[in-house]
Amino acid sequence: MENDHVLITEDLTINFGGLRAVDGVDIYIKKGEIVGLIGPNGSGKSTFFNLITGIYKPNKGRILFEGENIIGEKPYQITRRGIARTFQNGRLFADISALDNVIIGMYTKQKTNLLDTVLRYRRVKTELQEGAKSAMELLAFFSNELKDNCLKLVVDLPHTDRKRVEICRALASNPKILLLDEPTGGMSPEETERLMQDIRKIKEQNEDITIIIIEHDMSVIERVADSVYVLNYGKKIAEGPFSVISKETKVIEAYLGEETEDAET
Amino acid sequence: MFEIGLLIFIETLFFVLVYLFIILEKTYSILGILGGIILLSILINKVNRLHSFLSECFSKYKTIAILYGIIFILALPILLWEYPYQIFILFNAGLFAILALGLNWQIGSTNIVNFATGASFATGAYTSALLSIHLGLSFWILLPIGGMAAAGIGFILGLPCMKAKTYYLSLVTIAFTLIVYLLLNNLRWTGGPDGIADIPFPKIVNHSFGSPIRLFGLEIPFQANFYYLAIFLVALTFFVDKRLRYSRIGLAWNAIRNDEVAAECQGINVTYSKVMSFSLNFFFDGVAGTLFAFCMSHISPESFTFNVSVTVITIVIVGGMDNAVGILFGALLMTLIPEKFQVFQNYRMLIFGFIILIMLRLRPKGLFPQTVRKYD
Repeated sequence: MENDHVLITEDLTINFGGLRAVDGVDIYIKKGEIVGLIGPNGSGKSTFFNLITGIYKPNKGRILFEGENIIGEKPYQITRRGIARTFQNGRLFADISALDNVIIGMYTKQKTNLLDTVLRYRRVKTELQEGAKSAMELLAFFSNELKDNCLKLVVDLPHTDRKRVEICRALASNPKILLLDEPTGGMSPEETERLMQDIRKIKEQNEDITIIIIEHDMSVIERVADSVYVLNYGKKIAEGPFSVISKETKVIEAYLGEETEDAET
Repeated sequence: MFEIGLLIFIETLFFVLVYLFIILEKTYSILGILGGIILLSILINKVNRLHSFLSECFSKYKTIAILYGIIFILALPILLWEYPYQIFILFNAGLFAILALGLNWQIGSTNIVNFATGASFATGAYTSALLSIHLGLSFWILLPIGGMAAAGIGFILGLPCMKAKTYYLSLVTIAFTLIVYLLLNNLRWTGGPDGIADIPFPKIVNHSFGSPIRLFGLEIPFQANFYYLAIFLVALTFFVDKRLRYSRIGLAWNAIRNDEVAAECQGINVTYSKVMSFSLNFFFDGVAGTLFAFCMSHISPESFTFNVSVTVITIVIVGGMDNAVGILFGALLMTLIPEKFQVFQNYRMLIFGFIILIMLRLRPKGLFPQTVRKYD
């Protein structure tokens, strides 16, 4: 059964001092799914991403990617396996151009080494030019305006475009799993709508890609995600399609607080 | 035609000012020239139409402009045939340009504030000098060997160093420079404070670098030999720098400069990239050290103090982070100005510190900031 699951975590746990940020979380994610990961602030969603990408090392549990345990591997090794991510607050390389950022995303696909760079530069040049070309296509996929602005420094781009560039950078490595950490954070409803369409378009273009998305906007999750996991205080409290979990009392309580006797007074 | 003419005119004007700056010795005239250069650049920068017109001309006739510049650089020793000391200063500028271009891969590209230049420079110089004295190896073989020895040291130092970050890493490199200086002073086989003397001049065919170049009846002082060699090596370093910048290596360095965690999440092995930057920097420092040893023919620990590290860092900060052209200007500026104002010789480091503070406050990215990469 491990075969049809691209990502499995079992009993995944990490402690920060006395705090259990992620506590015994089991998830089974099928290849090609779009999975929503929701929960109130501080429920361990981003920590969960950091565990999968190797930034934190769990205290307990297993992470299986395509059937292989990836715990103990460095972030760059995990990225090479095919897990790419974006960050909650956006961690682009700010003082270089948007295009450079996306080309850096292709690092795992590029092959040239120091010797090629110094002595056989032609290879490096073709590699970079091809990279630049496909990076432009990737940017144009989100918006033509972004493609025209691709030589601007990231610091000079508006917030929405930065979010898009970060997704492009993650996509540039042709990942098998794409982890999106609050991609619509700080966007207007219209921009959110467009980004959702874009995410669906990514899926249409590449059916095999698995997307895990952390989101606060429930309407986004409702419309994009095939299945949803809900975290609260580091524990998984519900899983299933949005229509099911949105009616579970545990989930409603996590978001709105417990209903008590004197709530009405 | 008019455009070419104007371009040549402005370049000539600039070259004449630089030439005068090199040869004049009276403080007032030097200040005047310096003012002229600054005025000229302000004029070009402030008058928008002139600026855009000139940059358009430059990109249109790039080859001509660059060729003219190269001719000027090659002709300088001929123009300076009566001023051997000035040629030597220019040789020094070239030496510092190599060191600064290498250091730029650390401070500029990767944001590793590395103060170990003095040590790597010394490693190259001493390795080559010792091998030349004891084994009689020729300069041309020692040039890469000196670089390789320094790169090896850089690799060995780099691996454990990369566990430390930011200020702590800088402290390690400062300590390394001081340790190397102390070792050179106290070890017997490095000659102690006396250093190593009588390093033979390099030779090409029958021409010794210690003898003057005879050209059209002119006798150009022997320093010109080393000047040309330095220019050649600067060009080589510049060339490597350009290729590195436009490669996945340079891009990875820039990624690390901005955000190490995000860089690692792009599949970049951060430690490996940093150690590579360290070793490459050390390699070129070693090459420069070899050149220095053979030009001076006598080296002692006093040439490899912490001050070398500070000077080179000042060049990178003044010239421009991750901009090779800026660094060449920085190297020229920071070697010529202290020579011109001998009065301040004792306060040299103080003034450098002051310059760094002013630059970081007013133009943190240097006189020539990094340009955007274009792929076409």
